[in-house]
Amino acid sequence: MMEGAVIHTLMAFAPEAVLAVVALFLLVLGAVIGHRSAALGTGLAVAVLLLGAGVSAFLLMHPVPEGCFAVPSGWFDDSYCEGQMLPGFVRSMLVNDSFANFSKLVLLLGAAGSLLVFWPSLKRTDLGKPEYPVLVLLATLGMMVMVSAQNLLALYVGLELQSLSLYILVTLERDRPTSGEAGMKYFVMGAVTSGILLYGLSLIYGAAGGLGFADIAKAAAAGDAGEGFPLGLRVGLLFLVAGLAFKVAAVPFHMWVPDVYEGAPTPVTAFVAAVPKVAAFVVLVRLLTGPFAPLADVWGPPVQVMAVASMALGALAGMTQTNLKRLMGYSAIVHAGVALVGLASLPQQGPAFGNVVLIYVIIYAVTVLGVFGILAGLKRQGRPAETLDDLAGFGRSHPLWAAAFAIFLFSLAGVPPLAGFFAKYVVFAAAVEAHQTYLAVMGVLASLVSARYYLRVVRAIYFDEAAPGATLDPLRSVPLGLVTALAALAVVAFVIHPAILIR
Amino acid sequence: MTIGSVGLTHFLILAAALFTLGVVGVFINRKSVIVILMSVELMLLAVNLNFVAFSVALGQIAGQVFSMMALTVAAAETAVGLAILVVTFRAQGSIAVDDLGTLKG
Repeated sequence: MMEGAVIHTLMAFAPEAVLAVVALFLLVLGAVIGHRSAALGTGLAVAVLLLGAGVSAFLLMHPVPEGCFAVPSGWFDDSYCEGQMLPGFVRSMLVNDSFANFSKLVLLLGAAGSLLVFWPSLKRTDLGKPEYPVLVLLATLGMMVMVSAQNLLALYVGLELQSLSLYILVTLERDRPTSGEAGMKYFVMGAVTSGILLYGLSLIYGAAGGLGFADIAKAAAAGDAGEGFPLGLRVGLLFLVAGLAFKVAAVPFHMWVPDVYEGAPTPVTAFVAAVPKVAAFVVLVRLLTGPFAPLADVWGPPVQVMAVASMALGALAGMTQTNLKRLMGYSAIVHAGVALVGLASLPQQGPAFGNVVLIYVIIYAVTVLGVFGILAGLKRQGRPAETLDDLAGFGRSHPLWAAAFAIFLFSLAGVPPLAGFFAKYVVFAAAVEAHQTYLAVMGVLASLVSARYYLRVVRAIYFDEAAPGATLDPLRSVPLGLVTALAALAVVAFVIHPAILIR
Repeated sequence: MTIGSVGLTHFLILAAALFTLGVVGVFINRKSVIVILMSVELMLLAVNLNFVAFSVALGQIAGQVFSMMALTVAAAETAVGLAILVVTFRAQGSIAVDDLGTLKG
């Protein structure tokens, strides 16, 4: 009996289990054979991530009854689930529903993409280290636990696993002072907000009388029915939202964003900018539409304030930036604000709208992965090209790469036929429907203002002349080209089937 | 839960005071990053106190399990934090909070 339970758990969470084992194996391999294992490890990690994405896609297409061990019904026969439930302990911690599987698919593909972005940097002695793929795998594992968490304990452990891995990744380029400084700032602010989040969790635990999301939902429903919500639940929820707002880069928890984006090695920035945001928004959607749905009056106003503040600050502060990575940091704050506008209309739009918010974040993640992917490969006379001046003449020397770059920037700005436009349109339309017109107006204004700085980059690419003798180095990398081409294709081809957003 | 005349409320007030001290310690400190690490540790200990007090008051073990996990994570966090501190010190020659100012704008 016990043996069967263990095997079922392993099969239901096969991607997670394999990820953990491979990460530990690569850690030992790196310790034994040193730097030479970096390329091998990265290749293996990409393979494992893609395999996990395949499993998640399979589970997504063949949903299983809740709590059942994750072989699709009908694969053996329909009654297979009978007596084959996951052990109660696992069911109280993690869930493998279609929302979790879809998020895992996205997270795994995103992590694989950012490892491919890392590929050209493997040759660099300061960055091509065996710990890189290990840390990406561990961070991804943490995010996978986060998105399927059904318990505050699982949520916290997953969140910390990804945070700790990300702190180290940001500091990975040890010899460059800015990398260390960015890591230090990220760590300090992250540690403080995780303390705040944890304090919130303890208050929620005390008020709800249990750690499971089900316990919280019960307490919230009881409060909704009559006696009002306990103070601990309300205050705890605010602390929890604050901790997650740090992860999604919303004002006033945004201070780390520009510094980390600029200071971290560019392939790391690609990962940090794209993937953890998806996980954090999945958790927010899951909590705010699930156990905390009755407390919409408690979390609604702070989310709206954060949305407005993020869009305003990101749009205005981005105007004066000349470093492209830093500029993308402020752009990330604006986009976090827009996604929060989507969250704010959840109570009126219903839980299904959570999927739309998630798709918005995914579109952003794909686009930003493309932007940083190109930046990671781009060099001017051997030095990484990071400033607007470095990009002068990019359009002439690398027409295809520059075209993809321009597509990403236009999508971020929200120019019509591209994916970014549809994403923003649906979110703002929902805000108007939910009688939060001021949020939509703010969002459109922020988009217009921030469009100015994306266009400034496009102008630098196509119309500025490079200084004589300072042309960009040729950029040839198959993995990088693959990621960029796929991302650009996704952004352009979204117009064929934008209905997945409306559904 | 009462120990003599000490009840749940007393524990919660103590934890809240410790937590506030930790947060204040992080924000008013301009000297050394190590002090920030110590303040964060104080915040986490306050949280653990909360969990254990609630766990005893509710008569269930889950809160104490959580506090064990939180202790473990805090140890890992400190290890990572000190490692980053060493890297920063090697590169910049200082761990004063005011010297972390290369990145700005």
